[in-house]
Amino acid sequence: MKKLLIIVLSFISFSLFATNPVTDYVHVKGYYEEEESSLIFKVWRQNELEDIGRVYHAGDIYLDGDPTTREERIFTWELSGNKNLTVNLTFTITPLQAYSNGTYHIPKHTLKMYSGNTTKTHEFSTATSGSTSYPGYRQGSSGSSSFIIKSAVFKYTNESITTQTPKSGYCTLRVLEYDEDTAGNFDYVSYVTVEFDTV
Amino acid sequence: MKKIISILIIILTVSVSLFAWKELDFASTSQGVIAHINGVFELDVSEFYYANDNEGKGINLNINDENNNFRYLIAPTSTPKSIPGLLIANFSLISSSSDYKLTISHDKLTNKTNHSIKYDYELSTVYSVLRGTSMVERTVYCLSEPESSVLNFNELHGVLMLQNAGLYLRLCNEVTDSGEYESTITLVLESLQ
Repeated sequence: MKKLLIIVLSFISFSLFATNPVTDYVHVKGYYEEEESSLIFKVWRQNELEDIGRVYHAGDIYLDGDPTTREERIFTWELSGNKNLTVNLTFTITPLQAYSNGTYHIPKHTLKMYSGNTTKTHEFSTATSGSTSYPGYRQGSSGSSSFIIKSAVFKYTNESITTQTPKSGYCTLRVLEYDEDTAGNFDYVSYVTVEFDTV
Repeated sequence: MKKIISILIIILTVSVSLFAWKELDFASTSQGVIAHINGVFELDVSEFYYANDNEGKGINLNINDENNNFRYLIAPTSTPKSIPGLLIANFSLISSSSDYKLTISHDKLTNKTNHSIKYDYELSTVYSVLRGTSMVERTVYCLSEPESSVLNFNELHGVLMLQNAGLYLRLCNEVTDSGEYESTITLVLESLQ
């Protein structure tokens, strides 16, 4: 009887062991910290691959030869982001101007902004000279100037960019008409300001 | 008459005792078999390797973070279930019999503060078994439950021994929601009998 009991107990013991699965666990932990969005703006002077970083100065423009027939690239730009971003981008470009002895000289000229399949154009329509200490060249600016010429404003809104698909373009200048009294005697300068933000 | 009865009782007592000794001998043999099975049956799982990384938050799941050394290992592949990802744990298995199966499953990486945010991942199990005289490496993949990886060893016949089998993690999709995440991998070893 004892023998039988032990065999039965042994069998039950083995069966219990055989049918009870052994379980173990690995606990996985991880985290995600969202990277802050960042924009990288690059601008190059004219056609040179000289990265002038965040200096939004397009550089001095020298008008050699016959400027009225030439459309010259004055700067190239590129805006990229560290992830998928929607951005607004605004270029404010002052009229081309030369300064001498308290007088500013602004020729008649055209700016064109090329980006993708889009071309935006702004014409500074008259050649002007004037004695003034503060020529207005920004939209909305004021002062004791004898003439006000608003800056050209080029807006790009709701543009999608990534690191792989930046937004880029370039700006050209074509001078149409000089003030005959001072043509070609000075270095003409234009200033470009770029504002951009994510939507 | 009393003497005869006393002698009979003594004889019977000795007889029963002798019989009992035989029984105990047999019982000892039976218990030995059970002890043998228990003694060589073992499943050991290592600690999760990166549990204490990054101030205890575990793996950095941001695959765009250039400071994340594991970002290429956990990044989704264009061909799912093709390449093991980041090694996160090891396990070993020893048994006197190969009549067992090991089922490995996991839930999704779940955001600890918002449980509705979940990301699935490929769990690869890489292990080597002795088949004949040579080691054969195998890799099995599974997404989260109800998928699972089943390692069936009954074809091996005989002693089963896995050493340092690896568990690897690779994301199915890029994580885009901030927060801490957790998941549990469950290993169940059960008899095929």
